[in-house]
Amino acid sequence: MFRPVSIERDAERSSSTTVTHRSLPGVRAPNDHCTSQSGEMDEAVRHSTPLRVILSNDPRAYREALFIALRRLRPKIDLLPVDPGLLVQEIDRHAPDLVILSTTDLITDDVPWSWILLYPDGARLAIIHTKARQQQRGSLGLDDLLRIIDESMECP
Amino acid sequence: MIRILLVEDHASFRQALAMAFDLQPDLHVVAEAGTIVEARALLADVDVAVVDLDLPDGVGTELIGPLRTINQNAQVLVLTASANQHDIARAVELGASGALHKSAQIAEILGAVRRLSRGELLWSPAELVSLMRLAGQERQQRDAAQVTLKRLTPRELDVLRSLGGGLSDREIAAHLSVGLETVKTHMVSVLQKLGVDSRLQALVFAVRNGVVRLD
Repeated sequence: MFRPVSIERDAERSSSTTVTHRSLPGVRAPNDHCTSQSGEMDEAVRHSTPLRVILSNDPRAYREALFIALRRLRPKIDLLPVDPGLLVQEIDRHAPDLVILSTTDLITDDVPWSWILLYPDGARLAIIHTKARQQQRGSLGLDDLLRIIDESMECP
Repeated sequence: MIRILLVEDHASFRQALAMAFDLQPDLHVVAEAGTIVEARALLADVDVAVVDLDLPDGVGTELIGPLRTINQNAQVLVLTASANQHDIARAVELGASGALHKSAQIAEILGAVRRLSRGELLWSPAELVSLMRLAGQERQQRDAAQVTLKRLTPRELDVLRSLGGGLSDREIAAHLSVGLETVKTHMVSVLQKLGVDSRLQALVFAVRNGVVRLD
């Protein structure tokens, strides 16, 4: 059983924000926190670019709870909660490394981002598609999710 | 400190929600469970149980009775993905103190737990009466349906279940080792007793009332 260690007292306040609109410049090329568009990044640059994760799973209580937990447990990732209805434009805008979602609509073979399909239509099911692993799970705990994020932060 | 039991089978949500609760100064998750069986062992020392309806081994409201037996002041907040008012009404009738849809904000869930722990209602009396009325109507319909179903003979029930299995009259005849005409006779009798005009209506009736399960 997972029990949190870190205790801060502002979850209720923070959880009221479900969509974050960040002041990033327009549409960008796909983000890759390991490799620059012109080739390999040097070590210093590589580790200065945070993993960008879009959190767009349904229902909203799930999304907000995960946002609170991941923000506490992995404060260095760039975590963006996004309403599923705005997911297409937010992906174009933010070029995420990883998208956590509950709908298959946007998933194709050639999407440049890794993804976790979490509880599609409420099913007890998660499908993980990252560089490090492709698997289907009947149950996905918070520790599993953290492990996947940690793997995604490790550059090859 | 409000002591909370979380019963939810989607583990990553349950664990994250537990963290959201524990980040509050007045809330503490004392136990988590993913099934009814697990939860039954964790009902002691709980002020508010936050319970999903759709659990792998049953309906979350099954925990209300055992929880109240241990602590009659304990409150149950149903957290469900169902938008069906009948599900909510049934939960209220069984003793749930409140219900929220999973599209709610976390802040709403935290607030609901606090209100329930203070003995407040989440619904207005009028809303509560409306839900109770809905539950009562549904119970009456259910009871009437059961009376109707009891008029069917075991063989007619077999025919009805076979129909639910997608079998044709000929296949039902072979399955039940009876003649084709016998199947047709049973089918006519089933339709008459259920008060419906078609096989499809009979099948819908059977599914709604638990005689046939469509997997």
